[in-house]
Amino acid sequence: MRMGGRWRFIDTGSSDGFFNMALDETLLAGYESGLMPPVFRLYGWNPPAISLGKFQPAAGVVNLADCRADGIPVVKRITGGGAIFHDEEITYSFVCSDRLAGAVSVKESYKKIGAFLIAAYGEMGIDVSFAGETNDVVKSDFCFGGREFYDILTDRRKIGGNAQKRKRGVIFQHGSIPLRLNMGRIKKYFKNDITAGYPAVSLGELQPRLSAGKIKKILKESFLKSQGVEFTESRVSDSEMETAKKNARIKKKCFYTGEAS
Amino acid sequence: MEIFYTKEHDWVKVEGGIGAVGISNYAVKQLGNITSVELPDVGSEVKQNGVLCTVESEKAASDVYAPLSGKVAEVNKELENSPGIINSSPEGLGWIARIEISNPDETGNLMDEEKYGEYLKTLE
Repeated sequence: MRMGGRWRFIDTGSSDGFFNMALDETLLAGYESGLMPPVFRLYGWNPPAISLGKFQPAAGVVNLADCRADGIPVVKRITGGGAIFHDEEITYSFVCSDRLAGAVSVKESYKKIGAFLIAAYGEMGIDVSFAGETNDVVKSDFCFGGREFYDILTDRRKIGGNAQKRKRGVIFQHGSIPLRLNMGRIKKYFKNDITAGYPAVSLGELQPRLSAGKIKKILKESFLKSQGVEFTESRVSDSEMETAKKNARIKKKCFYTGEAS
Repeated sequence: MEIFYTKEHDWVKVEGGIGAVGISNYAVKQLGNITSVELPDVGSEVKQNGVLCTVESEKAASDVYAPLSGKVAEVNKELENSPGIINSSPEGLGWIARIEISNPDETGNLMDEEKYGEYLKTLE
């Protein structure tokens, strides 16, 4: 079953990590309130940032002092999963009802919704499969060092990370599609050796000629086709922007004075 | 002891003004392996249908809702190190919190075992 229906499509470009996570939370709250239609968002990160899964303690996973000194924001996601260093990457997020997704169970939803990523990678000429189908399930603090059942692999290497938040019949999911990965440069920000996990791969290594603009277009069209939805080109409303900016300020203050939120 | 369920698949077993709360067999099947539980704070006040805590399973963080209003009197500390107890015994040893119920009449908004069984059939 495909999702169908009319969705908002928003490309918010690159922003800092505090705003990116605050806006995802705002979009989820808007849909949960019943006032907003489902939404699909594309975005990027500037400056680079680290996001942690909701259940990861910041001080136990990252070297906060180094991150603060180098201006690398550390933010908590509302979703599960492991830490991600966001630099040159394209990130997507969406929010809809579990009924609309045609999948109430978590595994089923990753499979059904993951179809858009499988189709997108196929369009880019990359063969991918779900980790669970090749028995490659591994746990790790670092998202790209571990793999869960419906993580997407190419040649047994993880090519992106996805995570969900579930609230009262609502599915929120976001995912990271790295264009470049430089584990050697970012490992100093993590307490554990992130190069020790299973290998990951970026899109840039596999398809260096694909521009970010082209990749975004493929992701958008793959979501539209594989899920059978219609998009209305949209923008962040004034009230959404106000809420997201306010919450981003709280997250920033928390990072510089406490841990991460 | 009576057991009641919510449409969000949370349960509460009521006995002597205390309600033990957890998530149902159905919820566990939908979530998959539970890997972490963020327990509520003892002493915190919860409202009926408000967020009680969050559980993580297979990269999904899912909210658990309070079936009844009240004050959190006790939490199941065993879940901190062994969240999988929720998978093996969701409606028994996998209880999450015990709540001092502030308004027993709120059970009128919940489903008993028979009604919950009928509700599950509508989801098939």
